[in-house]
Amino acid sequence: MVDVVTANNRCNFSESLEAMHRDRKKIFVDGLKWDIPVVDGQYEIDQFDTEDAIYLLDLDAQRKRHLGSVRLLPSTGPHLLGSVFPYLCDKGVPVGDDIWEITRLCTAPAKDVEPRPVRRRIATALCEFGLLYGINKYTCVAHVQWLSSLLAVGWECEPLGEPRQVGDETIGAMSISITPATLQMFRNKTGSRTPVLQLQAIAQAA
Amino acid sequence: MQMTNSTFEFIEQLDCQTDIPSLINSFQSLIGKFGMACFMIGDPTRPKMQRDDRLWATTWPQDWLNHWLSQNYISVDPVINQLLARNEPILWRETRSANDDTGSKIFNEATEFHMTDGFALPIYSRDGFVVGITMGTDHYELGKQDEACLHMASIYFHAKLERLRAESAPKPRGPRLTPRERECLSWVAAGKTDWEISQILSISEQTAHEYVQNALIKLNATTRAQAVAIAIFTKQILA
Repeated sequence: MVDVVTANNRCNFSESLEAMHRDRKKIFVDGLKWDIPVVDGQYEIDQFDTEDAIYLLDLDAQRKRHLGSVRLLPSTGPHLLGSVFPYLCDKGVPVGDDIWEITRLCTAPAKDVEPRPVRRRIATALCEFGLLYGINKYTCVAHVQWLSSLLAVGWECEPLGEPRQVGDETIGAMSISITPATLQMFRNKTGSRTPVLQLQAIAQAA
Repeated sequence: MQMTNSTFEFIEQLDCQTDIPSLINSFQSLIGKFGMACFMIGDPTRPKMQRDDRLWATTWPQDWLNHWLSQNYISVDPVINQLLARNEPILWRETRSANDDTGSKIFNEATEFHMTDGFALPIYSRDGFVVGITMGTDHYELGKQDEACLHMASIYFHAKLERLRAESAPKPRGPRLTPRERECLSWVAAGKTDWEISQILSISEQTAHEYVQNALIKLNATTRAQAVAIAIFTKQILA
């Protein structure tokens, strides 16, 4: 199940959030060699991990262990695309109440965590969260190679501008449309008809 | 900027594409704007057991394609080998090596078909096999930014191609060859003569000839090379 963690219910998830920041350091700093800040030598935390950030955390049955997560930021506030990569958008950075940004999507790098089901739950959770919060579009910055996986899974991605060479990598900005059909598609893949989001947590989160 | 706009138009119009040939035409016309003459897309690392799922499409000149297939260049073409080994976008010229005789031969022969250089890139398929796409030209003038656009367009092209393939999947099209006809035609694809096929399969030369002729008639092909190409396109023999 996936928990929605906001500034209001964060105190209930401090252990899981810590684990998330540790895993993010292992994945993005140690693995992908991204040049981003590390706190206390073990946590990846940047300028966007603020009160405005909402995390979708995929946790184990005891709601403790971090299996995977994603960070969501409203496009109306500071976010990665708007603050760091605005030049990736040919027609300006999309901003609106119905547009949120996806960053730091990851699955726990532990050997006993199978990434595929985690990714599916997070994808479904992104659809459910989008529909609940009135989000029509997610934006994200991604390596151009990653686009093929997004399209293959069935996300409706629209490029926001030309991909560009940044260092050794070619990255691009894109927007992903969320409709009830998108949710249906992911539910069909998992064969589940019930929400993956912890509804009780949403009440506390609001 | 012209090429950027064309790329975005291509991506926008993908929703209207309903069949594979017009999708291929549309992609071909896009890469033409980048100065590319033709392309080939395929997943050569997919195991032979899964040949029905194999992806392959090309707009290469027919004569070059026939030659390329008949010489079994797929396994020795330096562009394909390097692409699979390095797993990142490459220029054809980067794969040229003075020590590689076969590679040099392929490059020289391709020149006769106005392909002196090109761009090739890997795309990841849903089930993990690398899909390669390679495009040739006689005047390569793309900058990094153009290559990035072409890369993105290729990813969209591949995703749409896979979707259309999935939609049209289980219906086998065209006349089906018998196992023996497929076997003989596979040897034709490997450059063997009727006599050689007869020796390999321990049958008479006349019988080998008849199997191949039957395949030509069934596939409505006038030449052996054409029959090989059709049989590969319709997935009745392996590329």
